[in-house]
Amino acid sequence: MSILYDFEITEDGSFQFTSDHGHIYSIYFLETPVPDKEGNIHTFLNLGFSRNGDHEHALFNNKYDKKIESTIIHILNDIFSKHDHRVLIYFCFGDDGFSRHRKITFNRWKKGLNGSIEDHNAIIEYEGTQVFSCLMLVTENPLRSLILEAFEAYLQDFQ
Amino acid sequence: MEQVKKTGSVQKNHYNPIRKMIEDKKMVIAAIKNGESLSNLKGIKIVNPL
Repeated sequence: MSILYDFEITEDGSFQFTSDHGHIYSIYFLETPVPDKEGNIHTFLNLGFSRNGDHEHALFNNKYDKKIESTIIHILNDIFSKHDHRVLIYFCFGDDGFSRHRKITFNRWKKGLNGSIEDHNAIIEYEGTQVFSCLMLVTENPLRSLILEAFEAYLQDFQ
Repeated sequence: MEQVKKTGSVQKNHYNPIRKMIEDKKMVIAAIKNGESLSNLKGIKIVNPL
């Protein structure tokens, strides 16, 4: 039995698969330019997941499905293996009171990331709520320090 | 290692990409929930990262 779900890439570039329980998962990436202090423009990929066309907490409190984790981590590792300059960022929101659940699940998932990928977590105070963020990049990225410095500098605006 | 674009200029103060990313994602979440097409979202670019 496969440890991954078969996924397809849709017209808009998102990844889609159907779980054994019949739920349709979509993984999408929003592209955002992030300037650093030296004028380099880094492309951050803002990662999102939906389940059956929604982001409700059910995604995170159903019985744990290891194949979902494996599929998502496979996609993330593949991105970094093919594009080692990429920077991924994941935000989870607490509007529905399930930010902690998402964070725990995501922290569990990311343990499967390739050893060459490092991550940096931050809690952002945004309009009276806490947003959990996790930035991921390849440790050997020659612009790593500039990227992390820019990330930290932009975070300062929220304090 | 692939190269990144370089503009020679530094953008500060006016544009915070972290804020934009948070707002973009909130807009996408709302659009998906409402069954709207993501291609209609102004200023948001969904990409195939591969």
